[in-house]
This record gives sequence, C-alpha cells and structure tokens, in this order.
Amino acid sequence: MWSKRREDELRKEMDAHLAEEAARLAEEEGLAASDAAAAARRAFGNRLQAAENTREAWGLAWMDRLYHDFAYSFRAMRRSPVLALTGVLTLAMGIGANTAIFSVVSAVLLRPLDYHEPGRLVHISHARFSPMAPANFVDLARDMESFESMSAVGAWSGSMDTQAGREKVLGLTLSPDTFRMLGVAPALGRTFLREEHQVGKNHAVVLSHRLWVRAFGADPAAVGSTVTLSGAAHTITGVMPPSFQFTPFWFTEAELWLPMTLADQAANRRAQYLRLFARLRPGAAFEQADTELHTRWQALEHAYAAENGKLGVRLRTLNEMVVGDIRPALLVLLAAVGFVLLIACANLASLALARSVERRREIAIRTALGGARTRIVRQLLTESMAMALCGGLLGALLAWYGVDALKGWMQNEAVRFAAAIPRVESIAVDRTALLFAIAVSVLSGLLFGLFPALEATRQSLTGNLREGGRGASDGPRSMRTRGMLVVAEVALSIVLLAGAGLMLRTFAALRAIDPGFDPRHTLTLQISAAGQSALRGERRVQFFEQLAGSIRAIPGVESAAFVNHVPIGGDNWRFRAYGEGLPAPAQGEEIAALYRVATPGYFRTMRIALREGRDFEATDRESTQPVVIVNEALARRLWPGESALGKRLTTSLEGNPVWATVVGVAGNTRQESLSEPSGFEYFFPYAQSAMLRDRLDPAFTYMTLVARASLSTSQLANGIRAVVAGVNRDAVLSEVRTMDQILASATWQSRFYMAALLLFAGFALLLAAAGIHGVMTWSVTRRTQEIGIRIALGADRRGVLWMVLRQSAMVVACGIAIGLPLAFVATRTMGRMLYGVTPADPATFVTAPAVLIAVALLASYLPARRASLMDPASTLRGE
Amino acid sequence: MPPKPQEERVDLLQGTLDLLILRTLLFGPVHGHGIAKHIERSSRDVLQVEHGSLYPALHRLERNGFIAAKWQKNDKGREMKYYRLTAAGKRQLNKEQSKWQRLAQAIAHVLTPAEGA
Repeated sequence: MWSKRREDELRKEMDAHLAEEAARLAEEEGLAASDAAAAARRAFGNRLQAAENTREAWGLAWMDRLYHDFAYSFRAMRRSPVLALTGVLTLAMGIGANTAIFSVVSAVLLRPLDYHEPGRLVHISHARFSPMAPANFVDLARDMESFESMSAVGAWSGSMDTQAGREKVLGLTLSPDTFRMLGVAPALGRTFLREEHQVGKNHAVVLSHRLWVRAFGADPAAVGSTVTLSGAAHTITGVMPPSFQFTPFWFTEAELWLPMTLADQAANRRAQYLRLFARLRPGAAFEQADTELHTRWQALEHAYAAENGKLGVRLRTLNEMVVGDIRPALLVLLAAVGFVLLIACANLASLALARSVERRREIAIRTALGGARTRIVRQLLTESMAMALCGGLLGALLAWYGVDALKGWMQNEAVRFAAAIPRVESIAVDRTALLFAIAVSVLSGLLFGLFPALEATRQSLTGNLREGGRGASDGPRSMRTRGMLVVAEVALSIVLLAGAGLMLRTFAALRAIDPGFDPRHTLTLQISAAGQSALRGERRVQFFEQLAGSIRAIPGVESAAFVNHVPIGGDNWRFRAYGEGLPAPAQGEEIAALYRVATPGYFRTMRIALREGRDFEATDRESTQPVVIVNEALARRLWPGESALGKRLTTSLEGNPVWATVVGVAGNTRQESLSEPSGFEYFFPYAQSAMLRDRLDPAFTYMTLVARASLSTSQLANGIRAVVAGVNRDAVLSEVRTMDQILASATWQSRFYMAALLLFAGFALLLAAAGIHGVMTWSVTRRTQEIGIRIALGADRRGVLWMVLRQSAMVVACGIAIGLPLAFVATRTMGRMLYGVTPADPATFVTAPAVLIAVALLASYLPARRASLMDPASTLRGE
Repeated sequence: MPPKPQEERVDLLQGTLDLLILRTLLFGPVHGHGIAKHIERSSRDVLQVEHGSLYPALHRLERNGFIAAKWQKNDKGREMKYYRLTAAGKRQLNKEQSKWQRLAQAIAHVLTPAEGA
C-alpha cells in the first residue's frame, strides 16, 4: 500500500536511532550490549506512541487507521471462523431480504410514472371505479377549468396478421390528443393527427416497442407500412419508446394504440366502457378539480336521471390508481422484513457483548498501553462494520438472484393481467437498491457493534488485568443487557408470528371457498372469428357449434361448450334485468345482471348445479321461443318465494322488449373475484344472441371454450388446435389456461404474502431460538461455580433444571407481554390483505405465543439439562 | 557527561521543540539521533528530550516543507535519515527565534520588579 513504504521507512529510522544510541552507550559508558539496548529504549520513550503521533503528523491518519482497523478485523474474523461465518450469513440473509423487498417497493411504489409530470395526471371514473359512457365523457370534457385536457380510452382486442399467421393482440383506442396529454413523444414516426379520428380515415395505428420488436423485428421501415388488424388494413404511423406503457393499471397488456372514433356513439349514455384520464391545469389543485368534477357531475345526474342515477363520480391521481391497492401490503412486507433484520442485529449484539466480555484482558492491555477509549471503540466498531459490510455484499448478491426469481414467478402466476402487481417488469436490484443495501449494512453494523463496544471499554483496569480476571460489576450487567435483547427479539417475533398466522388463515379461508363450479381438469381458451366477415349470423353460430361437437369427439374429452366469459377469469358485462309483470324499479334501483352467453352443455362442463329446469338445447334457435337461464340470486331477487321457471324477463324496456322465458335456474358461482359473493347473473343461448352473432367488432367475435377432459393440458390444447385448424384455418386461438390456473391466479397475491410472512416468521423464530439458547448457555457457564455449590449442598437436579428454565421463562414472558400489544397494533395495518379473519383474531393471538413458548422451551432445555447434570467436584475444582 | 539529577531537568514546552530542531539543523544536515544528542548537550543536559517525541516533530516539519530528508550512511556505515534545513525553514527559524526572544523578554519583565515599584 502507498503508506506501507512510509511505515517501513519510519520503522527503519527508529531502529537506526535505537541502534545508534545503544552503540554510543556501549562505547561511552561501557555498558553491556543488552543493557545498552535497554537503556536506549528507555531513553527513546514510548515507541508506539511516537509512531502513532508521527502518523498523525502525516495528516492521513484517519485513512491509515481505517485500513489498519479493517485489516485487524479480518484477522480477528479469521481467528473465530465459525462465529464470523454465522454472523455474515445471518446478516446476508437479513440484508438480502430487505434489499429484495425494497427493490419491489422502489420500483412499484416510489418510482414516478413514465409520463411528463405524472403527478398532474388523474383518472376519472364512477363511484365503484366503473367506466363511463361516451356521452358523459363528451359533456365532462367540455369547458373544464381545472383540467388542461381530458382523454377517453377504450379497450380493443382483435387479430393481427403476421408472418407467423394470425395472432390475437390487445390494444386501446384513444381520443384525440391523448399522447400529447401524456407528454411522451414517439420514438419513431408520429402519433395521430386530428383527422385520423374521423370515420373512414381512422386507419392509423401506433405500436408499442415490444410489439414492434416481436412482430416487426425492430425494423424502422415498419413505420409507414401497412398491417392487417382484424381484417382491415391499417398504417403504422409510429412506435413508442421502450419504457412507455399505457394505461399503467388497466389493460396493461395493450400493445398498440388506435385512434378513437366516437361518431354516433357520442350520444350513447348507457354503454359504460370508456376510462377517462385528464391532466390538471398548471396551478390547479387536486381538491379544486375534485370539487369542479363533482359539481358538473351533479348537473349531469339531474339532467339524465335515468341513465346517470346513483352512479357517482370519483377523481383519483393516476399514481394512486396504479399503486393504491398494493401499497399497504408491500409496506407490511417491508416492515416485517425490517423486523427480521432487527432480530438478527439483536442476536449479533448479544454475541458481540459476550465476546467483548471475553476480550476484557486484551482491551485492558491496550488501554494500559495508552489507547484512547474512542480509539478502541472505533476499532471494535470497525470489526462489526466489517462483518456487516461482508454480510451486505453477500446479501446484495442474494437479493439479485432472489429478485430475478421472484419477478419470474410473479409474472407467471398472474395469468390474468388484472391480478398482476403493477410495473413488475421494472423491478430490479438497481442503484437505489444497492445504496439501500449499503445503508442498511452500515446501520446494522452500528446497531450491533456500538453498545457492546461501549460496554467493553467501560471496565476497571486492574480487575481485568489479573489472570482469569472477572470484574466485579460487569457480569450481571452484561447478563441484564443480553436478557433485554432477548426480550426485544421475542417481542418482534410475536408480531411476525401473528402476521404470518393471519395470512395463513386468510389463505385457508380463500381455499375453502366453493366457487360454484369444479375447476379441476378444465381447460379454457378463446377462439376468435375476428377478421372473417363471412362468418356472421347463422354461419358464426354453426362455426362454434361445429367446433364444440368436434372437440367433444376428441378421445378423453368428457364435455365441452362455449361461453362468452368464464367466471373470475373473464370480463364482466352487465345489462339490466326486468321481470315481466313486476313493478318498475325506481330510478337508480334497477337490477343489473352479469350477461353470459353459452352453448348447450356449458353447465355440465363446468359442473355448475342446475337447481331447476334444464340446460340449453340444440333446439333453442333464433326462430324458436327466446329462453334464458338465471342464477339462484337473480331468481330469488325477481321472484322471491316462487319458482322462476316459466317467468319472463327482458334486458331492456325500450322499444319492443324481447321477453325471454326462464327455462332453468343455475347455482350461484363466484364471478368477478373469488372473495366477492355472487351477484345476479343470466345466461342466453348463443344461437339466440344477435349481438354476438352479427357484429364484426373484435370484442364480439370470440367465445371462450371450456373443455373438461382426462388428458394433460398440452395434449388437450394440441388436440383442440388441430381440430380448430381443420375446421377453419383463420380462427385465432389465445389465452390457453386451466380453470385451476385462473383460480390460483386470483389468490396468488395472498399466497405470496403468506409465503413471505411465514418465511420471515420462521427465520425470526430460528434467530430468537438461537439467541435464547446462546444467552442461557452463557448464563449457565457464568454460574458454573454457583450451580456446583448448590448441587454439592444437596440441591436436587430437577430443581436446578427448573431454576435455569425459570430464568428463561421470565425473559420469554416479558417478551410476550410486550409483543402481544405490539402485534395487536401492527396487525391493524393488514386489514385489506385479510379475508375471512379479523386483524385481532383470537385464535392467532393465542397460537402465536404458544408456538414461541414451545420454541423457547426447546432452546433453553439443552443448557438447563447441562446445568442439572454438572458434576460439582469438577466444577468447584476448575474454573 | 554524567546525567543531571531529576529535579534539574526541565520539561520541554511543546512547539519549542520545532524551534530547537530548526536551530540544530542550521549548521548542516543531522539525523534524528544526532539532533537529540545535540539538544541535550547544548543545553547542558537540562533539556531531556524523549527521543521518540522528536519524530512526530521532524515529520511535521518535513511535511510543512521546512526541512528535507535524505537517507545516507553515517561514519559508522549505518544508514540514517539525515535532515537539512530548507530556505523556507531558515525563514521559519528566524521568525520563531525572534518570537521566542520577545516572549522571554516579556516574561523577564513580569518577573523582575519594575523601576520605582
């Protein structure tokens, strides 16, 4: 090192001085060589001190000292490798876990959205976050004061013709100037011109970077070229930058954007399918905009009571929409993993305290040789810092791999985009996370190094220098401190155990939910006739019915049918339900039911119970009597106390209402999510559903196949693919998933939190057990003489065992007494993460301490047993 | 020369050591040991310097540029680090020396009764 040369020179200089003086003394005063050397050293004075002071004079003392201290620390660590390894590994896991969770928090919660001034962007919806009808959008967008601009966005799904064939693709339609509102410029080409939003001219499309790379090989010549979307030719006008995503919380899998053309839809005040976004005017406050929005909406509610009644309106910042739901859970995880690290630090502090008591002699000698207390404290701190930094380095590495794996798992599990954690792709152990890791390492090092270091240097000199010195006052004091550390560990462990227990019960409750159908061995996939204008009306019906028949014929397939959307995994469209002869409901009190369209055999395939009546049959056609199957909830609501069979209902009272006769009542199933109870639902036969048969809009040209079979998923999928290709080469297959996967996807976040909290609680228990074991062993060792005397004086072994266990029980009891109220407060933050269990669940709050007591008992048993088996003679003889 | 008894030795004030070192080097390069011996002898053994305390002072003076060092063999063939005064060091010596004389005079005035007191 650069200062090594200087050190060597100084040593050489001082050696020469001493030699010269010794030579002079020997010569001038006739001393013997050894006497002369000793005299020379005496005359020189404290050489170490002189060297110290010289180093200070060099002015770079602090750097030298640091290097020196670190070198010493590593030597010390090498001397007790097991201890050092345990410490480094514990810290690595604690710091690694913290860094991993922080990476998620940083990417999902902290990073601002990738638009111009994202804090000024807001989302407008109805009270239950439901989308809006176009006419309301048009009215709201007029003359806004607080908003600089407002946009509407609609979902779009269709097919795209590529070299590989026709594939399904998702996109969004955007009202004019949406890209300008977001403030993001395209990476290539341009976004839409105003006239491209007019009917007949709206053949422009802007691609996402991902789609451009995947389907066009990142070829710049793609801009300006044509692509066929759902059978119509479109011109690619631009490509967005790689980091651009819109919308950030809804339909996040959209890969292309099309200009929205409202035309005649602009007057539609019933169909709610648009999501509104706006940018606040500079200087306008959120509250101001909120008030203005509510005022204008009230006016619209009054003007159009029939359509707009009881819908309400809601303003949220875009950021809140993206992270609002998931923020509490992520913060809970961050806190939990922080607790684990605190427990680890407490353990290490306890160990460091014990070791520092053992190193009393060494420290006393150093003090006697002139070491300042701060100097020694600094050096001891460096030792803990060195261990912490090593642990931090390893931890950052673990976090790197862990986050990668976690990301992959998250992306796999969330097969439905609505269940995904927002911004998963941007989660990474980046510079921020690494800085966090360093900061946490340094803090940990300080935490578990500081007060043992202070404690160790607070000794009286003479007591420690004596051989086998045992200072009078330090024993009980250190014991007390270590005991307090264990109490803290136990308290934190209780909190973690309570959290983990609640999540366990939540998951169990979710799993116990009966979804109303049998999800096992059932494959679902979407088959679309998009882009095939020849398949309309009766031809489309025949298409799907023929497919159903052919798929049923595949060996191993028990049953198969089509439905527009499957429960939980599919979309949710609602229409009104009016019973014939029933009094008209008050405005705002209309009944809305989930709209399902199915082919015959659907209920049998899904194993949904048919409580009354029959399933659809091939004889239910366009020309025959319109029929409908309602679910139990709707039947009970419309016709309480009587059978719904034979009754009639319609979806709209306007014009010439079509009355459908109820021919069956189906059991309730979960619909939008697993945890929400069933609402109203009705089923219409595909053959009688004009809307789905005739419209060319891609959203209406697909049906979801459900097939129950004893084959493996891939076998079945391949078989179906072959059948479909045989019937119609241009049909598009997509979203191949099993119902089991869909259900699992609905609960994956709960599973994730449960797994994480269980892991943390388990780790905490392990650390706490190690801590208790360590302290009890140490205590027994310290009291060896006392115990020996007791046994020699006739104390029975069992009594000794209890005496030791009692000491441990005291500490654990204190910890539980502090931990339970803490857990009570802490679990209140988990409210939204739970299902089927309250935050103050008694069963959990009784089990958690019980588990801890059992573990503590186990951990204290060995040292206690060892104490009771001591041979008094040998303990009293030796030391 | 036999060492003087303890009570006749005077502890060296900090800072004055610098002055003594610079002065010692006025007549030519000396190594650390030589400087120590010179101070002791010249002060007739009143000033007993702990040899070790010389080195911080020497290195500080070297860092400030008042003295420069070079390794050389002494007459006995041993490699010693010789220090010599630089031009800046000479100027510093003069400055410190006059400061010291003013200080000594001031103290003397305080200790000696003033005229007519």
